[in-house]
Amino acid sequence: MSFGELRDIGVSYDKKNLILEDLNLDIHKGELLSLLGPSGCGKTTTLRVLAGLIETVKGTFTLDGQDMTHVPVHKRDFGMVFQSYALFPHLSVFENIAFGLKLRKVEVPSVTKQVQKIVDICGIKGLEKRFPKQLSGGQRQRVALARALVIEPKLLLLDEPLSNLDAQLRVQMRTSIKRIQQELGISTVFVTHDQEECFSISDRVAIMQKGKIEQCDNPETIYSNPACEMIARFVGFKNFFSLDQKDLLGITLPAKIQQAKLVCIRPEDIGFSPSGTLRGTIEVRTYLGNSYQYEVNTPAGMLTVSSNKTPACEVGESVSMAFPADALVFLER
Amino acid sequence: MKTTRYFFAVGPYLLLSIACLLLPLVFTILPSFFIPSFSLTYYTDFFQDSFSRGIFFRSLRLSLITTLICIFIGLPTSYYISLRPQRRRQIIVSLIMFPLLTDAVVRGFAWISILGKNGMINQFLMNLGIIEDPLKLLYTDFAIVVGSVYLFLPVMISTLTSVMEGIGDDVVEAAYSLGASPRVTFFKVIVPLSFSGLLVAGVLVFSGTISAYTTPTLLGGNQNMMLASLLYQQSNTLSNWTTSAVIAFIMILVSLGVMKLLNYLASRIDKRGVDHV
Amino acid sequence: MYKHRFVTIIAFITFAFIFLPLILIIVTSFNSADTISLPLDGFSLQWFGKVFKSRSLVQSFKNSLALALVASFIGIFLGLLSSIALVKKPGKVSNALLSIFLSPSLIPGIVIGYVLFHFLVVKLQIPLLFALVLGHLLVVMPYCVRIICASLKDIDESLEEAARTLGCPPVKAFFLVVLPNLRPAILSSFMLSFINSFNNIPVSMYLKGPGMNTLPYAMMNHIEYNYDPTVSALSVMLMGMTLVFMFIMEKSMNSQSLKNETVRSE
Ligand SMILES: Nc1ncnc2c1ncn2[C@@H]1O[C@H](COP(=O)(O)OP(=O)(O)O)[C@@H](O)[C@H]1O
Ligand SMILES: [Mg+2]
Repeated sequence: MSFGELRDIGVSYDKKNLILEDLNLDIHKGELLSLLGPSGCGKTTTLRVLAGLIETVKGTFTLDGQDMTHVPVHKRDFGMVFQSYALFPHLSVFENIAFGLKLRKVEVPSVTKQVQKIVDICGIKGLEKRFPKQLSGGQRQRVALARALVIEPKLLLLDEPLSNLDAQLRVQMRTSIKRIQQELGISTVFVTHDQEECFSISDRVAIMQKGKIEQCDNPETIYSNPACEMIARFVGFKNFFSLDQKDLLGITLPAKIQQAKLVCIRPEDIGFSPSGTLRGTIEVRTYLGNSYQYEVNTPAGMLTVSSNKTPACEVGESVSMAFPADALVFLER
Repeated sequence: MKTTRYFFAVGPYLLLSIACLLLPLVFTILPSFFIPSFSLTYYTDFFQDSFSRGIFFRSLRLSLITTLICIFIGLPTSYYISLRPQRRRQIIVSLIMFPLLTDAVVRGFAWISILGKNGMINQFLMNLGIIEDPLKLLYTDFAIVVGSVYLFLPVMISTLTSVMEGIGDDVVEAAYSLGASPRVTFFKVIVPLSFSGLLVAGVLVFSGTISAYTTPTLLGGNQNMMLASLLYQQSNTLSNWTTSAVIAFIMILVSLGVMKLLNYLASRIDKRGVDHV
Repeated sequence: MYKHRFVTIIAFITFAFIFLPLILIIVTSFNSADTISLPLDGFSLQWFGKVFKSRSLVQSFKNSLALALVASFIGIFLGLLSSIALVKKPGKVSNALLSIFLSPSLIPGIVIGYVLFHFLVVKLQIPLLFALVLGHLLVVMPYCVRIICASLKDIDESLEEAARTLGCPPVKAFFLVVLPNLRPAILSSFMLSFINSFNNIPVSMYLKGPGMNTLPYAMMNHIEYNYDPTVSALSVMLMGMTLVFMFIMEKSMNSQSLKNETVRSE
């Protein structure tokens, strides 16, 4: 049994259309789990279900063996960082961070100490007396994070925390977030639509589409074993074939694959070799710096192949290609 | 939010609106259409009577004149203000808003002291020997118009100023670079671009003037009544309920009608503006 | 930058037109002559003293003050309640209600005064004082609802949600997080409500009972019977009050939103 479990969650805003449909998600203790998916696929909604900010129409949410489904937001003890940061404009940085502690009736000296500690960790020392309006985007981000962390939440929820920052700051902040998360060992759910950001810092990634989790695994597994065509395209597979074409390609279905609809391979895994099983003609060549990418016209369709073979092949040249068995990925969807 | 809570929260004001606005309006105005079956007789009577018809058209005329004067004075003044540096602009606008927040009686009183028989203007002209007998300025249509312009000019100026602030310097500079003189720029660029604001402010001035009571009463006296003073006279002094209802309904119709019409025009013009950009 | 001579001349004439009458009142209120005239005779504060000696003016000032305070406080409280409902539950019903709540500012004041009088006082025989308060509530309602609604819509919804995730129960979250951020809106709707109620003539005129005169109407009567600088002195005091209000408003909010509010106490 996992630390946190969403089971068969259904959410509807208008009582007709389900935005989330039978959603299942496991959260492991101390991990940084990312929700990745295109805009509008239901990431924020899932996060708000975890936070308790929306009612579900069905399903349960348990955390640490406790049923949280009907626990109101303010009794959940989760920390949440909103996309807009939602810093209280009428309170100073210190008061913003101390807000949750004061509600928990923590003694004043202890409040000061805990705020100091989190301020240090989040790297916003010296800003305590300022008001949110007087902070830069990155500083606001850190204050929002500190405010959520200071209550020692059981779960930290981050909704696209980096989307309002510029590119350079984004890279810097994501490292900070990862460092702080590791330091405090806090279980975290991180919502993003940026694939690179997500793969770089996550322990596990849940890929969402249209209100469903398509695959939830560690980044390496997703990278090498995507669960469906959408994810495969997402992580860099460019050549897709239906299984009817397997004889044309000269490949065989491994025994352990029971049923598959598609087979795919990355451009860099296709090899040019005289003993190749498929022949074709090069139509376009582009230079990528350390390799060339070729568009090859074959009986199986147009393929994308990248190769650093020298001398490079010429447009119009006829080549034969090999498909190494261990580079092939079979997809059921 | 639960439905019961929702209605609990909007309840007091909803009740107030129904009990103190809707019901009174219906209860008061409906009978003016029935004698006892549906009829417009009271309304045709109102317009056949030369006295009340005169007041109706005077109200329309004076409101229109007031609006036009506000526009002609307001346009250049607002343009002048909009060209000032930001800080000074804010101060001027605040100062202009000041009379608006001052009691209408105070403002009317000021004009009585200026236009009255022994008022400033007459004193001044008589001291200079230009006239021998005081001019009759107070208790005239002229006085009503002056007072109404005084009342609503700040509305016109503040609306136009904020519209003109929105017109970019680049547009003006483009006009200059194309060889337009300041005068041409003002009339061909600034005025057309301020047109929708002009309409909005025009509505406020017009409907404000036609429904005003204090200023026309103080400055127009009993001879030069407007609709509002007529309504008060009919209802309070004469307890003439049906005529009062007729006047009330006409006043609502005119001010809402003008508002709807000009707002519609303004939105049309706004759309055209967006399309062209 | 080109100079616009024409524009500048008109602007200065306009400024003179707007400010000279008020300056005239201020100057003559300190004049010792007992008519409103120039040139000045000498400095005197007697007219200010006269204001305080006039029982009808002092009494009606107190009445107006009390009325405006009561109307503004109740108006804002109810305005807050309804604005929360209207903003929290957007939709057709809320839009319709909003236009209903704003409608008193579209209907001529004298018509409101008359129909209230006719219905509440003549027909239902409601006590005048009660009718007067209801009438003034109607006068302030649009200001309270419009300003507070607009400000509430501007406040990021996730502010309240953030408070709740930090352990704040819903009602407390409203008081700790939303209300403090509504302060400028509440202050400015209070000012506008107060000024509009205090300066209102048409509604008060119909609903004032015996011994319940309001200041603007008392001033109108005073002008009719005794034309002397007492009213100037009183006007100066009222202008002082307005000035204080404007100063507070300017401090608490940007003048932009003040500018967009048209005062229709006429
Ligand atoms: N308050 C709401 N009312 C109605 N529909 C909503 C609301 N919030 C989100 N949705 C819909 O739910 C879907 C998922 O939204 P969301 O969870 O915000 O997506 P994401 O965060 O992945 O971009 C979208 O199609 C959106 O239109
Ligand atoms: Mg989202």
